[in-house]
Amino acid sequence: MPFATYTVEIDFAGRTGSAAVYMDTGETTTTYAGAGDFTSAQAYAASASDTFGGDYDDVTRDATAIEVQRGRDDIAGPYRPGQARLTLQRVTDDPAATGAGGRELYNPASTTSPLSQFYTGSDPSPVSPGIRPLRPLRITMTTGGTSRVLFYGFVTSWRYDRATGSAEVIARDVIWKLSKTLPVTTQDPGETTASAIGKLLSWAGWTAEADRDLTPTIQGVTAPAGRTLPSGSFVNDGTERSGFDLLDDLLAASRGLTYCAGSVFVHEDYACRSLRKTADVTLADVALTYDPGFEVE
Amino acid sequence: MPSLRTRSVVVTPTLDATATATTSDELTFGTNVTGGAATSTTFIDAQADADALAAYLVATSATDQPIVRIVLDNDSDSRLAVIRDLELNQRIVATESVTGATLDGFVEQVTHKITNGGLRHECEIVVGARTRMVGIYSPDSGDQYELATYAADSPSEPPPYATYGF
Repeated sequence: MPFATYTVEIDFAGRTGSAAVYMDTGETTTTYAGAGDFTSAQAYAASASDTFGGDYDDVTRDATAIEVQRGRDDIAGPYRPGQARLTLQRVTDDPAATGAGGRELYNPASTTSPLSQFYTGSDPSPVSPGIRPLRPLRITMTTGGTSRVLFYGFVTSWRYDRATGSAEVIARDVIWKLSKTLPVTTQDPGETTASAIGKLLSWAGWTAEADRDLTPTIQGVTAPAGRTLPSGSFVNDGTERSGFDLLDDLLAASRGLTYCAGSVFVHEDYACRSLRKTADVTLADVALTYDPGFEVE
Repeated sequence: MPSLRTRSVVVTPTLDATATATTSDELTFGTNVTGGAATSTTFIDAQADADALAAYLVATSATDQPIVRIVLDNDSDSRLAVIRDLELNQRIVATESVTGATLDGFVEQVTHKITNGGLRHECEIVVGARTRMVGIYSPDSGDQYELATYAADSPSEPPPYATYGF
């Protein structure tokens, strides 16, 4: 059975930003940051600026299980942010080992892990505190000589189990990040769904053009930009509605969809399905599982 | 500013011309009898647009659409390449070898599960069928779960956005 190779990386030194970005993660008591603070704290958001080159950033050898999911459960419902779930465990023959080779490497409360804010050891290259919320996480798959990023997002949950010495890590993509912004928006003449979404992304710091594709090319045809918004409708004062609320509202009107293909935020107008005149993927010899049923309350 | 508020899933079972709608038929078809998130938007300011959106939602959601799951794994290099490049909203045409049933639909959800140190990669795709699979759940067959021949429209034709009812 052939198999691919994978690279799992966490940028333990990247994107520290201001404390305000930690918001509701429990690290600070700050709830919603001021819009300006959040924007400036997220100025590093362009993925191209990430290096994943630190001493501990490549966690591939310790990733015992990986799950990546994106999409929606109900074909009439909204698309959820993409999510990755990792199990990290530093396996060692020496249970007493500490530092980079110790089983507690992924324990955020350890005094022996160079990734912990409580580190007291003498490892020559500590990244303390490396284990923090919103660290970038990237999962890359390589097969047939071609690599593709399966997931790019930010760590939102880190739970360490002392009994097993493993950490369960959850990361979410930039669509989740939009829910943590309170954009102040103004509307330009001829504003479309796509251009409005671009403004929301910029507010969340997702500014690099290489990381967004708002009018993708579908089977050789450039996709529409969505609806032209009614005059005065795309105005938000930054006090109540989040970037995700606005995105959801925009897509409700246009019936489009958004998702993250690796680090690239993609918007597809509803007409994109009509542009797919031929199959993108043809599968033979597969099992089709259909689960009909109902539920009455 | 006018706004639209409706249900994105509207259950209106569509039976074939000879069938008689009964309560049990509704239950059989109605996987979303009571469900459906409300659709509300501030980005529509004309009644005609709201009407058009409502008509569109009814057209696309009035009938129960089959949700089909396909699980792929790393059993060949070509399958691994498919898994690597798979993305939401792609159009998939899949054929089951034993029954010959064919599905034509769009990817609604993708889940990768990589275990055993990367030796196993399982990829589950949830596909919303763009066309019905004739026989997979046909009232003509007494509501039996039956895989039969595929009689949907040609994959080479532009897909109509509205789906077909049973």
